[in-house]
Amino acid sequence: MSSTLSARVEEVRVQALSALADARNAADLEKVRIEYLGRSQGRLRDLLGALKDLPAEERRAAGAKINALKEDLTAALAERAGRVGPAGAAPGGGGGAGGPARADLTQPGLARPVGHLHVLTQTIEAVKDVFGALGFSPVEGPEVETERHNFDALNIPKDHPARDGFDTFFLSCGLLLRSHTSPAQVRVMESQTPPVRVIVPGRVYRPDAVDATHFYCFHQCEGLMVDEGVSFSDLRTVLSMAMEGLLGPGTKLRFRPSFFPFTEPSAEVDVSCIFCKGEGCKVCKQSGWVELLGAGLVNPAVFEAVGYDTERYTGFAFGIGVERLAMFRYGINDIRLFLENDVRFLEQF
Amino acid sequence: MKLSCEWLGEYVKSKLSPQELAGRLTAVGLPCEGLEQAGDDWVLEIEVPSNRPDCLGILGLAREVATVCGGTLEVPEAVPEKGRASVASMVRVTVEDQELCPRYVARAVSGVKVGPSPGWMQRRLAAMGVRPINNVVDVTNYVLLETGQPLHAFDYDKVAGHAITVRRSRPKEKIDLLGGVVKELDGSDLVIADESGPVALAGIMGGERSEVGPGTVNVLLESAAFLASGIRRTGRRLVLSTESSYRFERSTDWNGVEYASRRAAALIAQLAGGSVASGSVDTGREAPKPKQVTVRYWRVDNLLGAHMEKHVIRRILLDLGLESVYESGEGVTFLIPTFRPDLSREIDLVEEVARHFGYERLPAVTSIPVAVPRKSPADLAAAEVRRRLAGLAFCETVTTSIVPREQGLAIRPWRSSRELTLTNPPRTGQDFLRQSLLPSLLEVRRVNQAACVRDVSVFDLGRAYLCRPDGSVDERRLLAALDDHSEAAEDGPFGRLRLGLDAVLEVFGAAGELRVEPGELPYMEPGEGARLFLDDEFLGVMGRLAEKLRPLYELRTRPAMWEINLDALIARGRPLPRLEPLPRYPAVRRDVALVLDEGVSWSKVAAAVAGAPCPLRESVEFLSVFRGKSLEAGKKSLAFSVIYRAAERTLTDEEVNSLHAGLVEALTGRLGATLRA
Repeated sequence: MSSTLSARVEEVRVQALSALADARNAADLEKVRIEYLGRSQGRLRDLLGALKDLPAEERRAAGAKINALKEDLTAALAERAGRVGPAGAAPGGGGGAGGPARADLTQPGLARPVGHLHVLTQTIEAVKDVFGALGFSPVEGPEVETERHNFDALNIPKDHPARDGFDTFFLSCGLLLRSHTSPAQVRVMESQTPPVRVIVPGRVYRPDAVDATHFYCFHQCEGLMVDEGVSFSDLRTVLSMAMEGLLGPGTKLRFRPSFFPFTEPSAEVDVSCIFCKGEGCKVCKQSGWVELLGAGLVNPAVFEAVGYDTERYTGFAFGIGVERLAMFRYGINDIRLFLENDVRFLEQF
Repeated sequence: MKLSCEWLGEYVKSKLSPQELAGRLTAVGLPCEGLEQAGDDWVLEIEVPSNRPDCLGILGLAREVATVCGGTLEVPEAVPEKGRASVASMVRVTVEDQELCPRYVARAVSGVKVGPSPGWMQRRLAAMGVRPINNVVDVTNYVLLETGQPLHAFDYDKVAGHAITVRRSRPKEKIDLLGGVVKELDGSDLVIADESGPVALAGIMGGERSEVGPGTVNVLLESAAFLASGIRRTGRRLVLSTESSYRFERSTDWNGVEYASRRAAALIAQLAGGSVASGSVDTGREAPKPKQVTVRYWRVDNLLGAHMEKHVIRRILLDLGLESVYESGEGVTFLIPTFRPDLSREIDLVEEVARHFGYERLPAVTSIPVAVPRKSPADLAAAEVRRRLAGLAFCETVTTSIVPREQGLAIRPWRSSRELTLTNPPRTGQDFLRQSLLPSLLEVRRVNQAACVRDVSVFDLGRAYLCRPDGSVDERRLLAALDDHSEAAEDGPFGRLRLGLDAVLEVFGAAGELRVEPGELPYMEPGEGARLFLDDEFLGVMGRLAEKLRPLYELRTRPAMWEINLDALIARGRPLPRLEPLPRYPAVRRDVALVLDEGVSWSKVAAAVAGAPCPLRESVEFLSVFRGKSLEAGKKSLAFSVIYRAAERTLTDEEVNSLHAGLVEALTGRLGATLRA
């Protein structure tokens, strides 16, 4: 019966390894070899003989176990031979001319499958880690949003050209898919009093024509810090530290004035190209800079919409394009690859 | 907005090269997106932010340049010589809707000679991308580019009744626009009409009937203010965007209306001859009261995080055209010019100071109080779940939530009171917010099938969009896995998936007892589907895609998959594992193979082992299942190991053999099994 056989295999293994451990010289080893691996009377041979009594479908598994034992013992014997004494005591069976059998350290292993986390997950985790070290807690917000959260409370009135930058998917029920992660700012402030220090990674949607740098579904990471006395210089400090953390020491930032309805003063933030160190290359289109973030002080109109005291509190907010960051970090040249999920792409990260 | 450097030089003298100018404008928030040489001139392409209508005229940009380089802004004089006739006697203007058109200024120039405009003007217009037409039309375009105030010139003699009415269009009213375009209007569009109908679509485009042409002798000049949102609505609906509508949508300057009218009338008389009728017809009632805004010095310092000298703050704001009306040691109160509608609060002035002081000159090393970040239980659980599944060689996918309608409708394991549908989908038919991750994973399988990737083991942790009975949206966090291999695995199509499922449940510790309840599911192949329960709560589904659905997902294979409600697991909590003392004595393993009816499931066998009275049995592990000719039809051989251990001593072979024999005997009895010898 197989259980007995399997038990016997284990028993033989224990005994053989113990005998090997006790061997003091080449002669001892040879005795052990003959007792266990010997061709005519070795104990492994007995085990193999017992195989024929097993049902056919179990024979294969049991046989494999015995073979594994044989390989283990041969290896252990060779290893032990290298320690106990001079050459000459090589076990039989192929060792002969070349001296003692050695492990081939140049041989590769058999491939085993390995899983991978999606490169966007890895990027978002890196963002969470870096901002976590700066005291920012990650939170989430809904993707199906109201006009109030996506636009009105963010100082983007209806029929205003400011809405042009935020083309939006609308749902038949009157709700919409958020076109940026900023509505989560509003939700956080509606539910919490300062101090606030959060980041909001998440999915956003815009009906952009699809090409290598645009897809209708992508990710952003919003950041928000509100307290007494938070300044534009604090924003510069936090983003400089975070980008060094994400893109490596020496990464430089460039703040350019810009306009967003929900921040004021507003800035577009470029980072120095990590590939050419600002010299100019293909990635940064020879400019030395890559546009990666939008940022600014929270517009008092937004504080008013959520009932914060605009005289007492100030704050900053920023938004990072996650795909953009990942494309830059990993040299990915087509945004469509992220959500396509070709396994050959996924396995590279 | 294009900017001709030569033209700019008429209003401000600067020593900056075009390249330096481009850099400096970019640094104050007027990014230069292009720089081209046009003859002796350089033309910059400036991206003007939507809150800066004043910069849609070269004068506005010149004011920024003057502030940047400390130059003086020269605003051209606009005093037309007065002719004898008065405009009021020549034309009647009626504005029916004061809200949509708060101001309409009409002027007239009589006895013009229409012809080409002079070379300097043609060159400037061409540099700015505007095609020269004739001296009258060119002047209106020239002044538009100069001031940002759109103008329109009518052939006075073609305006029926010499009466202008600014009114809402009548439903289905038609208008013939310049260039032969005919548009049908609804009742909300604003038109400029004479006694026989519309002659212009207000603020957007003039009509053909009253166009200025070679035969024009008398010109009626319109300069007006229109409500930005109204122009925007009409422009969007009729898909019309012009230099004029672009500026009206961003709102124009109340005072600019009158200035531009004078400027254009003077220029027409200068270039095309004729005499400017005296005065004007101006429907504007009360000029908006100029705003006053106070900026406090300490507030600037607080917001910017750096000390700003008072004289720097004052100088920047004065250069930008603000007038100081009151000053104290605390701050300054400014009168805001009407061309800056974006300045109405203290923060707006702080931004101007920051912009012109330079963001890059503000410190980037401040001290910030430390804070402890908190990750939500959901976040922590999700990270651990991902790690476990990746550890079992599943690749994580991230998939779009908008799926083709048919594909999304076919697999819906979760209850939803209604569907969420996009009104403007990215692709026809792809308008469905998914209610399950499984259609997304099947799409991943299809993509990889097309890429000739044979083996796919993937998982997705994402949201499905369900509706609660009250109509509110439940963005539920789901977890799904799919496994599809070209060669059959030893442990069957579900082996690896089950391993993954168990690993996920382990993340939640003793969350509950998993029950796999085989049953029919509309999207799984009959006999290959099951519902999953944790204790008695529905947790999800598992199975192989139904053969009949294969074409819908364009698949050649039928992948195995499961999907579970991760939010439900997270809600159960995730206690930290507690250490169990390590066993001090070795375990003994005994294998057994039982021949069973096909209908006897593993869960029954496991339950039978668990239920057998055998105190030293520690656990049971699945080994293999065998079906084949050596067995009777309808039978299978199931092999597994039973592990025995005593807590306080080493078990002997004899003892285990007898325990095992007892167990096997009990099992054969309970399961109707025979022992595979």
